[in-house]
Amino acid sequence: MTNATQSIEERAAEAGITFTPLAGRIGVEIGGTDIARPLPEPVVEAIRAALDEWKVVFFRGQRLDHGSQIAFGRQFGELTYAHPHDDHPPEGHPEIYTVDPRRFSTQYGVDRKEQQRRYSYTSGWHTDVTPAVNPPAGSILRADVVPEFGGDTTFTNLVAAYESLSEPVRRFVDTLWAEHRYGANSSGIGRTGAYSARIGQNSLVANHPVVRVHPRTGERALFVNPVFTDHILDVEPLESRWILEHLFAHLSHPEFTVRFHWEPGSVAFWDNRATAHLGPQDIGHLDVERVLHRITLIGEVPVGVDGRESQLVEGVPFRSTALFASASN
Amino acid sequence: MTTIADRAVGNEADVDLDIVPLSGVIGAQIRGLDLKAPLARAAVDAIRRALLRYRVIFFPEAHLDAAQHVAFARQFGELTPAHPVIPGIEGHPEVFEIDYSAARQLAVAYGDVARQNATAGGGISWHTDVTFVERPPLGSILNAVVIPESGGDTMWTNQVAAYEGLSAPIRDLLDGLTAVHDGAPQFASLLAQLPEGGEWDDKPFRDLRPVEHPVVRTHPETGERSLFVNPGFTSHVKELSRPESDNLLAFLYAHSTKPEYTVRYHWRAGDIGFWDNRATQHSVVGDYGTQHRVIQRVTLRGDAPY
Repeated sequence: MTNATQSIEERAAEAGITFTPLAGRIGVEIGGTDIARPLPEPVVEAIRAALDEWKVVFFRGQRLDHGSQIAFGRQFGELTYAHPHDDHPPEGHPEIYTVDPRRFSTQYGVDRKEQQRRYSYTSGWHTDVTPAVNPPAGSILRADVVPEFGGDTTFTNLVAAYESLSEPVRRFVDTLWAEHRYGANSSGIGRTGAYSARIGQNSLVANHPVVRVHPRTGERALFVNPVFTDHILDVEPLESRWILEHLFAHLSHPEFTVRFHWEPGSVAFWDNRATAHLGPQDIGHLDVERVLHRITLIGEVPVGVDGRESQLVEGVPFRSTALFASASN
Repeated sequence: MTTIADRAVGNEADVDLDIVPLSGVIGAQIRGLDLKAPLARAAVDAIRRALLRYRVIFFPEAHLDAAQHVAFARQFGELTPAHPVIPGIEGHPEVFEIDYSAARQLAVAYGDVARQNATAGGGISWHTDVTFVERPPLGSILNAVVIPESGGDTMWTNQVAAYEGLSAPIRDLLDGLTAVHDGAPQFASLLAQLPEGGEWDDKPFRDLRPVEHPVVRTHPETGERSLFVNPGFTSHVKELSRPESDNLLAFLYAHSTKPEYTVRYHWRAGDIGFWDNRATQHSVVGDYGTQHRVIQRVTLRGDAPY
């Protein structure tokens, strides 16, 4: 731990950037770099090292547009198509997924009485696109229009969450597998409506290990989330509900988390293999605009503690092309 | 789930026991025996086999007095004192009497005694008898002395069936765990009132120290595994954090008291109930209001769970 921290600081000094940790177990703000321009290799390496250690890194006051956000992301890996269920990425930028409640209601309609305002497609703790057999390795989200107050995003460190379980519980969850899907049991996505119909017609389902071994760090992370994890495989339904309720409550304990307040020009870059995040919960009653743009890095197929890889149940892997025919309409 | 019908049948027929099962997985009534007289060896053996198979057995309207109750019970093993911290009735130190009206008075007088595990209606919630000692009783034999006209039933759950009803990953988790059982929350203040202290396993004691038992115990006679935690006396699982432990125990309590593992028995005065305390929990239904309810109980000396 000490050595890793030292090496990160050394890397930062070498690369001429600053690291400011924002919480005890997750989140570091990186200063002294303009990420709209091509980055020197030492800076790329320093950011990678910071992600390995701190799971999510933040940049402030950046001036990215779609093109430069995509160029920034490509320095860390190949990018996915915008989103499995997005039919309308911005013209010329199929990688960009815009988080904006107005887009959602335009495409799928929103019952305002029922939902007040939706600020993302999936509110609640989640890891991005885990219904895919290869969920994104990382996500890069940039703030375009954000409210002056409210609308924060909270991130949790799934490695810390795993490591703080008791040894018998770690051994237990090491052996478990879970099904992930859009419209999972506890996701809050209704069974009716246009979005639900779209999900039903373009099903994306994968079985992932409950404990995932990180491909870079070798760390074990608790790889379940209440938005997409439907049930634990090979146990009874009531047992599954009990296990997941416990793990969901556990993974969001404040001690594993950092809460980030967005300003125009803020950018968050998280390791999607080792984190879950929670969209804003406190602006549903306010009439405010909130627009962010996300790109995601194509991910590996997760590997469990026993070396077994995740299995595709329905759909196709999530790569650079639209997943479903209707998405290119 | 293993049902009664699946299990190997003993030789009850050899001694003509009239056995009527009362549910799919637990409980049977044994009719036509006179328990006031000494039993033939074969009858004792047949009753023991029925106990192992059905977990709780009932002898309707046996109408035993305290001396006959003790004599009946001794045919099945050595008796314990009435209770570690509650003295027996006059002349019968092995006989533990609960007058549920008096128990309510006791709760008022002593606060936490009896209230801890009581339900809102004056019943007693799920527990296995006296698991807060190193060697909990093998079995309990209850004599229904005064029974309400309506209500006051007792329910038992089959802890072997409950264990077997869990998925393999959960059974594997439980097999390695140890539970701490603590009688102090319920009985420490009562113990403090006893000038001589308490007694169990021929040893006097002054305080109730928590004891450890495996979460899953192996039945010493049948080799079956059973869940051995109960909300009455289990305080926590040793190897887990408190939230993990609370969460696991709450799940196990809900699971082990599912209706499919239970039997509910309506008493008549004079009935005898005999349960295997190594493989069951029980609970008194608190639906009888202020009606009078008195039971007397003796317990058979047991082994240290493993």
